[in-house]
Order: sequence, then structure tokens, then C-alpha cells
Amino acid sequence: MDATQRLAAIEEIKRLKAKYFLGVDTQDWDLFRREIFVEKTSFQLSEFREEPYHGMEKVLAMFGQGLAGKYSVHHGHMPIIELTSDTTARGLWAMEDRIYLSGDGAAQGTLVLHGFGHYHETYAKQADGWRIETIRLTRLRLETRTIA
Amino acid sequence: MNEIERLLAIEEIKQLKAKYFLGIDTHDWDLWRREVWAPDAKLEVPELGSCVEGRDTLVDWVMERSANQVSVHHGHMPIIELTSDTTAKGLWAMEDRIYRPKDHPDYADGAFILGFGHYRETYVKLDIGWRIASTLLTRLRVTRHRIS
Repeated sequence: MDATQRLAAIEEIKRLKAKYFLGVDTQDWDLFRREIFVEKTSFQLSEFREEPYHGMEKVLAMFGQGLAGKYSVHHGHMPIIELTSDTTARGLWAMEDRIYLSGDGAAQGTLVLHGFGHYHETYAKQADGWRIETIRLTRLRLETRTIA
Repeated sequence: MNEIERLLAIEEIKQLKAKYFLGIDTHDWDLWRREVWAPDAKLEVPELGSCVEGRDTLVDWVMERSANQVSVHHGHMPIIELTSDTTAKGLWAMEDRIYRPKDHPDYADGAFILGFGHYRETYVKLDIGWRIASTLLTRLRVTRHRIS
């Protein structure tokens, strides 16, 4: 893989992760099936549970249950992406998220979870492009507050 | 267009959007006219029921709404896709903060507004470089706060 191909792969992986954030916040689970996860993906929410969720449908069910009736905003920053072969890579993203547990934006009294942490990930290049293979989410801090 | 030209175009479009953010937050409307928008650019903001067309009309419209307020706009995680050698589309996650003084006409609407959403855009490459051809701003969440 030459330098240009390496840069193109890194750009594609950044775009892949951007689609992940778009999919979570617009709750577009089909986007995950089509363009984001490998079928055997795994997701470890280390703050809540040691055992990762295994497989596309279990991970998407966990997202769907966790976010049903809520609004979320997830942003990723400062990716560190490293190709480990022509078809595999790993990455680390700083993240900030807000999850609004109820109500609409202007409503006073809405509970907000505001968190910071890191995604530790691996990626695989399939015939149809790069996909996320594994995710482990670690938290630096989680604040809970009510909109005044 | 070869791979390195494609990567360079993506980088130029990221810098173009960075100038958009710099211009709006520093109120540098000359930068907006010179380096950001295509002459027949379109800006659509459904939450305000607004769609303005033409660079000069568009810049005047944003300038009027921005007078006498401080704003901070950040864009994250671009998904940029070239659709030809001279056209592209893009999606950016965004976060903005608007601070209004007591004598601002829209002060009652909120002294501090915190918003999250996405820009869905198209770009065009002119002789003088890439410019924004159209922007559609959709919102995930907007919260309005009073500052005592």
C-alpha cells in the first residue's frame, strides 16, 4: 500500500466513523447494516458491563433500546488511525455525547447525560469498503443535570 | 481525477467549510463573499422557515441576523464525497452557541442558545477554487436558556 492509498484508507475510515455518529443520532439502524458494521461486530460498553454485545443485531438492539424515545448528540474528535495491514486498521476517537432523556429541547426539567470518553476500535476492509469490526467505549466522565 | 487529486479536493472542501465557520463567528462577511459561497448559493434553514438564494442576499440575511450577538459554531466529522471533478456533496455534524445581549430584538427567544444538528451541502469548483453551492441545516436539538 503506497502513501496515497494509505491516506485514502484513513480518510475512508474517518468517513465511516462519521456515518456511525450520524446513524446513532438520527437512529438510522439500516445505515449500520448497510454501511457501518461488519456482521460479526462487537461493542463493549465497559462502564456498564464487561461482556461485549456480539453481532450486528444484538448491538443494534442495544442501541435501539438505549435510545428509544430519547434524543442524542454524539461527536467524535481527534482520531488516531493506524493501518495494521492492507485490510485492517485500528483507531481511537475522543468523544463527547449528550443524551436527553425526555421532553423537547426548550422544556425545563429535561434530564441530560453529558459524557466524555474514548472509542477504541478496529476496522476491516470488505469487498464493499471499510467497516467497524469492534468497539470498546471507555468514559472519562459522565455528568447528569437538569435543564434549568 | 486521480486518488491524490481526490484527497486534495476533500482537504480543500474541509478548509472551505472551516472558512465558513471562521467567517460567521468573526463576522467577516468579506471573507464569506470572497472565499466561501458560490454566486448562486442557497442557504436553507427549515427551523426558521427560511430559504435564501444568491450570495449577496444570503450574506446580507445572515449578517443582519448575526448583528449584536456572539456566536460559536463548530463542525465535526465531515463526510465528503466527490460527485464529479468539479462537484461534491458533504455532511457535517454541527454544534453552535449563540449569546445575545439584553437589547437584542430576539433576546426573549433566549439569551443563550445551544444547538446541535447537521449541515447537508453541495460544493462546486469554480476557476477560483471550491465554493459552497447549497447548505441545508437540520437540527437534532436546540435548547434556549436565560442568563441571569
